[in-house]
Amino acid sequence: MTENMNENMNENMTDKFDEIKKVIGEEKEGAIQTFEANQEEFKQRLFQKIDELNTGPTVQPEQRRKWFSPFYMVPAATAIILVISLTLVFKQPVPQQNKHNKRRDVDALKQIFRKAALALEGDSALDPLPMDRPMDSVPKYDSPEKNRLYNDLAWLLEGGFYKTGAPEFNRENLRKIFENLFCLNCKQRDAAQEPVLLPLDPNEINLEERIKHLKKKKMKKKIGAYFLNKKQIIS
Amino acid sequence: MKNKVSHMFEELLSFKTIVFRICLGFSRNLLEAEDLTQDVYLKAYVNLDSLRDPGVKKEWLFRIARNTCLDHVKKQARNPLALRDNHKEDNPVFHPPDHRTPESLALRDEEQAQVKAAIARLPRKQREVFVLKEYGDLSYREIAATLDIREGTVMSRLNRARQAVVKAVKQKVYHD
Repeated sequence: MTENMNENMNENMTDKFDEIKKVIGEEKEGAIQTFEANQEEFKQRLFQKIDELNTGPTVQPEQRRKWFSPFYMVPAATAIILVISLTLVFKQPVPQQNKHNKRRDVDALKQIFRKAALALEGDSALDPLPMDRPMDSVPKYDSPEKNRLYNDLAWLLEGGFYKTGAPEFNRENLRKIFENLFCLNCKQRDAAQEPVLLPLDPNEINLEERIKHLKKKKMKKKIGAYFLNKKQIIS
Repeated sequence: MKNKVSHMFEELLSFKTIVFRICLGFSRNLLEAEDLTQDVYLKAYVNLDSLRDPGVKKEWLFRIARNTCLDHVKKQARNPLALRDNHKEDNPVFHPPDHRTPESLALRDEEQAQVKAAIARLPRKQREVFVLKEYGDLSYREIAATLDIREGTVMSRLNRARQAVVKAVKQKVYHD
């Protein structure tokens, strides 16, 4: 029974679809006859559109002239000139790189001194500071002690700056800091006929004294530790 | 180069009747089908350089026709209030001499509208196969090559499409 029903359904569907095909066929036949009757007109229109594509959209002369008229060109040119002028006038000077900033250097230097002092007060096991380290090109001051101090300070600062990530100092900058800090070339010295230390925070440790003390106590090892013991410095 | 392009384009124009039939299957009336056919050939002209293998120019052209028609259908769907030309005087369709009565002619027009509506309701994949077969009269192989699918897929989609159209016409779904 079911099979018969299915067969009937398929037959019905086929019959119905045949009717639909007939309807479609009639529509096609009529449309094609009309289309073919108008074939020449169809081709003409098509080639006209293709020509338009090839030549591009025609711009009316009036429309083209409009945009190049003084009414539009003068304000546009004025605006461009104004923008360029303002840019040149208000152009920020490019900051010179590596420009020596005394205040920044001194502040950084003080931080290093503090850290170095704190580190030096520890009792941890130490590595010796190489005693045969070469004396770097030290500016010649009027006393060996100052020369030595400068060299020790350079050693300290270079390691310290490296560890704290402060901008790299070259020897020249260091010399200037040193001289500024200890006023080795300042006018006050000239007036006083002797070096004058710049007024520092009373709580600050006097580095000169400190280094002397360390040398006496053979605490150079601790200076070495300061450079080598990164964790201690960073913490 | 120009001659080569012209020669190729002339060859493509030889398929214009098939292209028109395909466009007729996707469109609502004769005028729309003609406009779509024009669009297809314009696109073919513009993109002629992309036709690398002249051996597949037919499938290439039919693919353009399919895509153009589907785009048109999408636009229509987005703009349902677009002008619909229902006036017969603006839509001159030549009918062969018919000895049927005016009533039967009106019935024929109504049947055509019902079938069109049923086809329009088909899902895209079924619709394109149905139109290419029933309107374009393409073979299964040609349809498969145009749509880049297997012949078996063409047959199954066509079967489903036919069933859907029959069902819809039986239900007399009629969109105004």
